[in-house]
Amino acid sequence: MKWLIWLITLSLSAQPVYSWDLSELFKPQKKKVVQQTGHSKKTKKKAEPSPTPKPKADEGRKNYYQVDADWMARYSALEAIWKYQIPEDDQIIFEAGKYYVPPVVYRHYDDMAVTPKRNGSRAAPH
Amino acid sequence: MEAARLRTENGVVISKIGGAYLYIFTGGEPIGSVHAGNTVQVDYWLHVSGRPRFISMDATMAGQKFKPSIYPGKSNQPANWSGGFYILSSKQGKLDVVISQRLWEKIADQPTRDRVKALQQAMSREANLNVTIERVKKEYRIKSVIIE
Repeated sequence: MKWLIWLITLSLSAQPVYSWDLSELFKPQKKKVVQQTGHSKKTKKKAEPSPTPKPKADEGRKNYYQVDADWMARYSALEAIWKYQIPEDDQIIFEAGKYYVPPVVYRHYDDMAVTPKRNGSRAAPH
Repeated sequence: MEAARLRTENGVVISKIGGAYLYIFTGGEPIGSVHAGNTVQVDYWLHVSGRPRFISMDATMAGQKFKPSIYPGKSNQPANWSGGFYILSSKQGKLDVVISQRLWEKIADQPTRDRVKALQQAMSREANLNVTIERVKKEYRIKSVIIE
């Protein structure tokens, strides 16, 4: 019996009561501070210029580019080679001997001209 | 605004954009003729290498019914013709853009003949054609021809 009491006393003495820190548990709660966020002073990045040169936009027709018959012939030839027409082709205008194309059509030309054909050569008819 | 229509006939790419017709030749040695009604005929004989070549017809003043036709192959092309464009308008006698057989016979010396032949060949290898068609008294006529 003496041995049992001694063992219990020994186990209690291994973790002394004074080592338990209960101050964190009973200390008053901290007030929540709302952090005010100001407007960011970062300026918006300017749009980078397109890598391909574009013809001048026609002043009379907003968002349209004026191209000549030679460009139009090359564009049509590329579409025929690739068999790839786009719905925006309907927006091409011919007026007073001039062709007006929307930017999508111009980019379509660039895509077809730059993309190499399967045999390795470029489709662009220069 | 009309749709851009693209089709290929006998190796010739035909594009219709509004009132304009584009006949595009992408390679080889195309020969044939484009007819506009019964009065206007444009013969072509080209040597295409590299960039595509074309005949452009501006028919915005020719009315809605205007529909040119293309006939590939040799037809009645003149003798001593070395290529290029041969433009005829049956109702406009003074407008034919052609070196006629009569003029060819007038050129007596061979060096001049060679130069004319060289001019035709240069046109055949390099030039494009823009033709403006108009409708006068139910007949199609050529208003302007630009070889560029």
